[in-house]
Amino acid sequence: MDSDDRLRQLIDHPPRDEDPPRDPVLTAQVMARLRPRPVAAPASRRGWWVVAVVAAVAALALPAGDDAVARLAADDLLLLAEVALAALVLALPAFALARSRA
Amino acid sequence: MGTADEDRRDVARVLAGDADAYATLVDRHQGRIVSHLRRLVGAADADDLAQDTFLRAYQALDRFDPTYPFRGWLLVIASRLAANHRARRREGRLAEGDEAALPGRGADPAQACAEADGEATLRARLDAAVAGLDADARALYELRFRQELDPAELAHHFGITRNALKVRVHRLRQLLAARLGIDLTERED
Repeated sequence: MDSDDRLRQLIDHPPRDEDPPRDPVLTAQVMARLRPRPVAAPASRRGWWVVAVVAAVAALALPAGDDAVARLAADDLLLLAEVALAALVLALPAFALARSRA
Repeated sequence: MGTADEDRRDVARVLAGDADAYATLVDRHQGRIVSHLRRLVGAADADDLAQDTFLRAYQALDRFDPTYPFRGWLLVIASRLAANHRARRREGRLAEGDEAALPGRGADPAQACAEADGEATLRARLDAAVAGLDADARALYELRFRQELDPAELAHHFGITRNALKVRVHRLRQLLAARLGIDLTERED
């Protein structure tokens, strides 16, 4: 094989360099520089506070009785809105804490 | 379990919040990444860029497509960082003299021709020709031929069609052959 043929071969199949041995220092340096990845909270944890707010609002705002929904008056609706707002404000810090621990 | 399967498993662990699993991936692939970067930027900067490669990959891990090998994805990230690094170096923001450390850099193809055409000389001629390519072409050559990434995988990572990649590779081989002063027999890919 002449040198031109060998060069043609080398273009398509250049020799691969030997990989250097594993360097634990490099791995340690990478790991030290990592920032925690934001991991999405599981659906069960994402939705718990929404369920809690809805349940609390329903329990507080709906009067007892067979035709409870029908007897919701304007006052009840106002109370419903106020309680929902308060519950949401209270739930936000808990939600943020849950995310930071995830 | 093969390396690709182990990679997919470890990537899934990292995405599930187990950051320590990433150390396994770094251990497994750092040799090849450093070796690849030494080709592209020289030994002096290869380790630092390897660290940057793994950090960049970690932050973008949720965009990794497990259809393709993790190693190829890392090599493409490393190539892009190397291209940026070389561009900055050309702008003079980095220390002068580093270019001399690049494989093949400093070797004169004409002078090499005049020497006996032993295997080492032929390799040096090829290295010199590759070193003279622009950053994108050089990265493509290293990824496709020395690292032997699959054309379909490369086309995916570059965001181009398989045919477009084929054209680029064809032109690249023709360019190298011209620089080496040889005619090239056509081949696929």
